[in-house]
Amino acid sequence: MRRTILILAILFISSVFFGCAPKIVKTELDQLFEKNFEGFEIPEVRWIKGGGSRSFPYATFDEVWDATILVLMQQGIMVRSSKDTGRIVTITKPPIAIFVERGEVVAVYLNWMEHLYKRVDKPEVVTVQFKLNVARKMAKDFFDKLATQVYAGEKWKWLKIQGKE
Amino acid sequence: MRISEKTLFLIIVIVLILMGCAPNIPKSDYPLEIKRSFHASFDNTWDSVLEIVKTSKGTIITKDKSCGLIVYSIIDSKSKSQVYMNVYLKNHPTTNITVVYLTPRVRTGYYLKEIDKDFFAALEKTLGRR
Repeated sequence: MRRTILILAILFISSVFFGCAPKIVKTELDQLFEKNFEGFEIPEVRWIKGGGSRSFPYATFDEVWDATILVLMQQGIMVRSSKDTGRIVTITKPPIAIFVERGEVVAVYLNWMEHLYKRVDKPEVVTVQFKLNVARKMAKDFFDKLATQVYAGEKWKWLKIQGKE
Repeated sequence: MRISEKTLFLIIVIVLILMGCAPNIPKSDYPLEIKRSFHASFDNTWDSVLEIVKTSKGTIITKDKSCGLIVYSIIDSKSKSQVYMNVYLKNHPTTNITVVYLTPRVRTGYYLKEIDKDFFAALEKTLGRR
């Protein structure tokens, strides 16, 4: 009887160990982090424009760009930025690509780079999937913060809220 | 119901194993110092930040002088964590003041250890030498 209990206990503990052991599943994003994003290309403007957008009337390109940087640097790791082309890539969940478009009315476009969650060994498998409504909510949240930053000046309240989580 | 010592021991071992498997999420109410103004030109501050990256053996992830952004990664000597430093410089040419914003991050979120103090102290020191 004792032997049976002991065997069961060993089996249970082993299963707990194996259950906790991290499965080494590398994604494109993991690879980029390993290489410190060397060789990573910013997505094309046309692709970025395929996501969400918002216009910022009565604000200059510089004001919107500055506000975009200030908001994004609180949301993730900014891995690419080019003021000349107006494009930024930030690693949030999911990673996002931003395009700030110059014009009479400055517009900001955002697209989600879910493809970075593709497994390296099985590119047809994506490890993290975001539903469209979740992604849209995230975009709305971002644009709301950006609007606050653009029109109300420096506001960092969300930093404190997130920091306490 | 009486629990034998062996069963109790087993339960404790399992609980400890499970606790060991729990992800270590750093939590802190430590208020980050995310912004500081320096009486220095933009160019001088930019070069000083790059010098800090070099002396701290950091790796530049991206830098764009036209907009004042430098992002680099370092291994924090205290926690041995890979930390990504978003540094943003804004200049006020009329007053010769450069405002430096900093948000240190790890892959999972904010990095809430006192790395910002070290950064700003190093920047002050480097600017003082120039």
